[in-house]
Amino acid sequence: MVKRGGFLLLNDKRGEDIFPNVIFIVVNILFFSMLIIFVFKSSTGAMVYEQAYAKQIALLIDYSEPKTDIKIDFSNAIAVAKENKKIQDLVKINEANKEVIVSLSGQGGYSMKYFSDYSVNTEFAGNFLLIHIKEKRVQNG
Amino acid sequence: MDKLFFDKKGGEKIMSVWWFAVLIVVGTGIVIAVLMFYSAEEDTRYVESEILYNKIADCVVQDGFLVDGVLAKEFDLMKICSLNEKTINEDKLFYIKINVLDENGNSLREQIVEGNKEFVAECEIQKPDENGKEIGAKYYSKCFEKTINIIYSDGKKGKLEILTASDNVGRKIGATENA
Repeated sequence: MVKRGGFLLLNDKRGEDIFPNVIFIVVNILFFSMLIIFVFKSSTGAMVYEQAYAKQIALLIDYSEPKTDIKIDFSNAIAVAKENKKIQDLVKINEANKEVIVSLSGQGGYSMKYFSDYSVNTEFAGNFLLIHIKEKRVQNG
Repeated sequence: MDKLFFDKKGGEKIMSVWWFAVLIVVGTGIVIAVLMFYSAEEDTRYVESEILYNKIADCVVQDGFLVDGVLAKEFDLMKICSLNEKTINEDKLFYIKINVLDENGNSLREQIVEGNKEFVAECEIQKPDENGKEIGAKYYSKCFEKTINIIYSDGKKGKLEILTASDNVGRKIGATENA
């Protein structure tokens, strides 16, 4: 049995035994680093923000009265979208289906319906999303 | 390099097959757990049914008085309260039931009912029992029910029962659908 020193890389007899230990440690560090990066990427990914913002916007529309303007800090979502090289159509309001679609990557997005019969428009002002809620226009004829 | 995998007697040393197996099991477990956690749906249905209730209550009752026309047979709740016909009656994601009662509990008009009628049973099942225990039903619609005191016609007292339910969970959409 090889007698080892107190420190992990020290060896009483031959220096060459250090090499496998170093590789072992490096492989473990690499493996767990990859896991940590994966967890971090998942927690700040488009999937999480798309759902959160779509639901938040739909609930805000339903909670509002006509002639309301809402300003939402969208900086986190914009940062995620930029990472995914998506710069247009981050938020869409489908008036026909009464749904909010938030898309922060090129791979689809998240859709949430709302029940209010209002006319809703959105626009960006810097890192803020502005939502304009108006009374639905009555069509004549 | 052999020392990395085998000792002098040929036995496995540091980077054994078992160690790789442990790494694979741990890694796979963490990946599956993270994906499950972050792809889980945030449930906003109860909040939504409460918002729907508030919207209806604000629309049909003002300062405690029942709004004119609610007792009329031709009262159009969807139009008066700016509710969308498609989401509520076609997509069937919501349910609304309104009862207008006098002081003695007699109905003053027919029930106003809109949306998915199947939610009535789901709301009934989820109601707390005599001991206050509720049955948690994850895939059932979430309901909100409240009775408020009102004044109608010429100062008569009455009650307004409103039940709302929501099963609007949202959905992920593909790249082609969003184009």
